[in-house]
Amino acid sequence: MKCLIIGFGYMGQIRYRVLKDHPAVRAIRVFDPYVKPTDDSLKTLWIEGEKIPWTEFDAVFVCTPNNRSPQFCMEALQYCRHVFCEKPPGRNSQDLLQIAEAAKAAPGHTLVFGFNHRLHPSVQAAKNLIGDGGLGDILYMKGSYGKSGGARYRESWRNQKEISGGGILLDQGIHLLDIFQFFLGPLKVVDALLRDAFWRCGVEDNAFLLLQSQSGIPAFLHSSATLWKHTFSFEIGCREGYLVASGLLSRTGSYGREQLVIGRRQFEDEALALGNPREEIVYFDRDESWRLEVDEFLSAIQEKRAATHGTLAEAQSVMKLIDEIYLRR
Amino acid sequence: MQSIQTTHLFSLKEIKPLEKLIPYRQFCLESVQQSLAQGREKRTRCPIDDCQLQPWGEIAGLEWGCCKKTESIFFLPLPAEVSWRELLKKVRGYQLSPNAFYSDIQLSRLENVYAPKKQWIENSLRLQGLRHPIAAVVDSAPSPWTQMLETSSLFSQIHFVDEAKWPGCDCALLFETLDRSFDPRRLLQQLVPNLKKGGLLFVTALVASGFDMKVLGSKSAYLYPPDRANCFSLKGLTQLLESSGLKLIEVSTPGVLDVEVVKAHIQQGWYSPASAFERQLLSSEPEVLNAFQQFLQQTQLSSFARIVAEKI
Repeated sequence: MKCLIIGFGYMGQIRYRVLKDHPAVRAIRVFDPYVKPTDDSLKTLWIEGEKIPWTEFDAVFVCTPNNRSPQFCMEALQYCRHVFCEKPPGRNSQDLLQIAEAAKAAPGHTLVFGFNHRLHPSVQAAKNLIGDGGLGDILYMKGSYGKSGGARYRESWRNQKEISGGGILLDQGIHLLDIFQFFLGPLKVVDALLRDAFWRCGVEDNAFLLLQSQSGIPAFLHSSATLWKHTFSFEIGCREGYLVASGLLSRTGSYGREQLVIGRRQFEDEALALGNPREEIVYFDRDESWRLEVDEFLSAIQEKRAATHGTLAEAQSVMKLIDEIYLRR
Repeated sequence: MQSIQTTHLFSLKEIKPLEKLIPYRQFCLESVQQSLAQGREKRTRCPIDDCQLQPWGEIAGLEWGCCKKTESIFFLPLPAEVSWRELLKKVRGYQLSPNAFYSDIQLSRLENVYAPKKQWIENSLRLQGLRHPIAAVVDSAPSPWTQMLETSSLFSQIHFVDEAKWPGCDCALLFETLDRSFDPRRLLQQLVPNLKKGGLLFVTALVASGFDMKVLGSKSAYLYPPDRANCFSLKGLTQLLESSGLKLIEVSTPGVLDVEVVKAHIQQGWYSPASAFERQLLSSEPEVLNAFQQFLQQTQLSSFARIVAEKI
């Protein structure tokens, strides 16, 4: 397959690293008029000028700021074939609707969105451990995902509403929302509190959400750009035990070592330590989520089937939720 | 690959008290001597990579050798293989007899050893998407552990096997099996072809790279034939598994007793601390010793190893 990467920022470079080792990929080109390749080995990949030769490519990876993604997705669906778009899928549901209509007009083309966090090993392990025969039905979920922002936070396009569409919730918290829906199915908003208390960029730097699944399971989510210690964690309380995932395998390691605590419910007739059950802590040392995402996208294309995750329906579900939350600003 | 740490704590006396082990150990050593009297050969090559074994030390007058590359330790004089199998049956019979040292700590072992093992298998099967597999377990006699496995709903079928004959299976359990195998490399060579692709191998072993084994060396009461004829280091064990066509999924040393084992040896007069640091550490408060044991778990320096490997 010949693949095109549009946008060679942080995500474009990640996709490039995965694609160049993929056995199904024959060639890669890059389109990014704002970035000049510094590495000689990358220069041959660059498409010069402003026109994209769409028909040369089998698959396109759209790794651009949120305000540009919809246009590239629509063109790629129309003139090229298969599209992988980084999250968020546009700035809002309206943007996504345009992409959805373009996808509807090109039914044979695969469209996938990048929600890689659900493919992290701690999340996948947690998914396998709940339910019948495992830790039982879920009683609640809660999670916290945030970063400190950094000295140049205000300058980033991610915090300029006309480009990004929103703040930290849309930028990062969306992953945790997707994970919650991965476990609980579609959610509705019970209440939401958004604040722009520290960064004052005109978009939220903290979001506190109270959500509920269709079967009434409550979930609480905190998305933040003022967590001075970078944090990723979520807890799932189940009938027979609990799971606490924390840390994320990442390039910088700033979110801590990725691990999953597995605890079983133990009352005083089962063990002496009421309220302090035995736990196992699983440490993960390899993040295959980027590769798994691309594998699934390319396999879905080759096998002419629907993708199993990052689907349009999942993207629409999470964007609908975010729109509802943002109405409460 | 993942590694696992446990917060499940218990004491040495609840599962393998040293003072009760000593008569059993003596029985094993005498049985081995009797078996060797009928004929012996000296093992010279390492079962991991076939390198020449170097002298390591003696225990009760019996020689042990060491693999320099992996620092695994092996019992050198071996009787004929048939005699070795008879020896294993004999010591197993003693273990399961009413007068054996496990009899009055049966319940404690069920809660602290077997139940966590069963939970580990259950979690691992779920994590790898294996539901109700066909299992092969090396065990020569019924025991509380085999009964627990049979009454659990983990497996669709369980085959209890000896080392030589492996049925087709989805997963295999080698709990301290490699430690006492006559030829651990050959065992894996015979097992792996019968494990389905994607099938899982569960291994537990005492490892020579663990804290109490490194500190005590040949003074460790837990090092004796035939049960520990092969005392792999963690490095040696993982190397052996990988060279047998297996991919490592989990490598952990979730032991909780290393520090207590060393202290028990000191109390029984088997060992004297060699350095001021050892004396200081071993006389620390329980919180410090617990934290140190957690450190050993996290850094794979405990002497109890637990591995899940996948057939590729």
